Amino acid sequence: MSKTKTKRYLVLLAAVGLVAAALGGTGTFASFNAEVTNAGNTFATGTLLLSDSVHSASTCYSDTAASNSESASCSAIINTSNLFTNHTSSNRLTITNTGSLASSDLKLWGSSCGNSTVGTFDPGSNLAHTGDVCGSLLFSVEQDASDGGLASACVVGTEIGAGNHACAPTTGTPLGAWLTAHPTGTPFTFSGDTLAAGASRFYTIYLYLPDEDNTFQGRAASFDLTWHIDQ
Amino acid sequence: MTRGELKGLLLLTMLLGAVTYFGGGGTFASFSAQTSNAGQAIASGTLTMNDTVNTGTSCLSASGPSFNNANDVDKSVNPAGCDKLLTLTNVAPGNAASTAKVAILNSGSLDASGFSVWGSSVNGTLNTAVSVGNVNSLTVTGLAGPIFSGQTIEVNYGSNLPQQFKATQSVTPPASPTTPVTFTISALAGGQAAATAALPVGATVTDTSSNTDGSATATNNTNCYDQKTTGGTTTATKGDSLTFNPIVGNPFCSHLLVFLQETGTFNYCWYGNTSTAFSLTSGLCVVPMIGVTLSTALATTGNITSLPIASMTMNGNISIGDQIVVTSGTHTQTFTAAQNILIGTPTVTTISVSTTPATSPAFPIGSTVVDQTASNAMNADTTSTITNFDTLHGATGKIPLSPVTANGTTNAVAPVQLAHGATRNFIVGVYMPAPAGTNQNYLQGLMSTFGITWRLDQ
Repeated sequence: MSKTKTKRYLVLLAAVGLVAAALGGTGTFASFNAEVTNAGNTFATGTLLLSDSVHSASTCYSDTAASNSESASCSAIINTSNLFTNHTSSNRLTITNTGSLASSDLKLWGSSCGNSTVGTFDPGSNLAHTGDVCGSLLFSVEQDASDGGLASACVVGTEIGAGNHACAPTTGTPLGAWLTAHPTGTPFTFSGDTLAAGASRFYTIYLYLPDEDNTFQGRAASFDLTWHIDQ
Repeated sequence: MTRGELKGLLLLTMLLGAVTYFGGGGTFASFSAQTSNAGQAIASGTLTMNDTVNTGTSCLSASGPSFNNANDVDKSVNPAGCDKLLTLTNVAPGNAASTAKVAILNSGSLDASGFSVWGSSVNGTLNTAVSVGNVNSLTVTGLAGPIFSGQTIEVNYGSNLPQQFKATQSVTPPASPTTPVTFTISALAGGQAAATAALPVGATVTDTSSNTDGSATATNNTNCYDQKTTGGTTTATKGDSLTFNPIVGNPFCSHLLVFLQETGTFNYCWYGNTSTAFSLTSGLCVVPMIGVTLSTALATTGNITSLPIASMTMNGNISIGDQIVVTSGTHTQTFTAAQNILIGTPTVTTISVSTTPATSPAFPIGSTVVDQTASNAMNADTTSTITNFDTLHGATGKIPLSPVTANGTTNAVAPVQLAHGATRNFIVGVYMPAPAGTNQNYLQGLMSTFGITWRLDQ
């Protein structure tokens, strides 16, 4: 390299050095950096939902309601007229966990029971329609192996016994007393019963009206039953 | 080499040039001699990072499809991306925290003076190349989070300067990250957008306006976003069949608690619940253990100094001082933890407790063991959420990961935060709290998706 070129090179180097040194403290150098991202992490909840299917009626679903607590579209389990004394009304019900999570329990509670007078009567009738149907009815809940299948346990009421696990309706639990004992705050818990996702429980509900007098003519009782599961 | 040292070298060079120039006028003798020192070489070092999740394969910053030493792509979209930390389904409130171990290695030759972590921005990967000139829209895959009209979009590729545009269309992430999403753009100031350099497939597209609104409204623009779960059957209804679980405002992201725990020689809780005094001194994030039971009945006489539990990989953090409650039916007794046990510790069979007189009746095998201190703290926590992580610690609020020098203690002025060849280890976890007496049905059938970004700076 000639002397002239050498001089020029060194001047250029000096100039570069001057500019860079002057500006180096103000961050104009693009520094090295490295970056990674762990993307797409997901965390998803399951669902906990109930369906309620009354035999010979439609199925209702808890999630029909915004609160996941549906009643309007659910059928009454027993809706009978012309009930008479020493007679049993019964019907079957299937409760299913239609969610993806198992429940830790299965609970049942009732509303208060209300008596009323129904039907029309001969204007000349002097019958007193005052019978306390709510207080007289006997209530039984039988758990079955399948819908309409063999009874596996009488969970409310009394078993027939001698190996027969079906409920004996005539020796059921007084309805009024059961409802009083199991309002919302103190539900009846099916002992040790959880409901896996997709699992069902099958029940037969019995109502028996014992031998009563004529004051029970034209009388009705109404009450609600609520089934509940928790995560 | 620091900036100061570089300045000094350049000043010296300048001086050398000046002296040589002014000292050379017409004084050379006719005889001459010369030597040359040839082959000067100046080589730059490297600053790269590896990210290893649990026992998976490391991902490299240098493998990102944007060719700028940033690997931010969703691995569902590009196999070069980094592993997900967590994929958890069918969760219920109060479930055990889902966790992952992350090892960050400085795989370069230079020490990093900066090491940080933050809630990823809303971003995606360019799916359709853009040529120089007018451009009206961008198509991306792996869109993580919503883009709102009016927000600033930055596209990065290779050594090109970032190009910025303005979104003129709002879009939301699709059900699958591999589904392309197209949105229209304009120039930042409005008018026709123009690409000043080609934007190849793989360029990173970032909404730099994201993570600024964590409200429970439709304007929530966090990287963490909610969707309804799909694909239900007649026996397992999924979220998209429900009407009481709206996703407006990302309610699940705003409920889920996230924690970032550094482990190793010392522990430090970088993000998460540290509301208990024991947590601060132990450097452990508050995380309750779940589903722990006694493996042996407790004695009814004498003193209790340890609780025998069914062998497990610990799924919570126990800090010295935490109140541990053993329950059997209506019989309960409270003990005080006498040891720290870190989440993820394998084969834990006992919990040491401060000496406590035994009580009667006995606690049988199967009695539940609960860290009540941690449970109460986490189930009441509404602060350490993923949404808050995104909005408080997004790209503009990065958490500087200073070196941990003792449990719960860092050196914020350390000149080197991750030396070349060094690794720092973390546990990242998510917990769904179960606040007492609160109906959480509105969170049924929802899925939150989120990302975490790590960075080294020279």
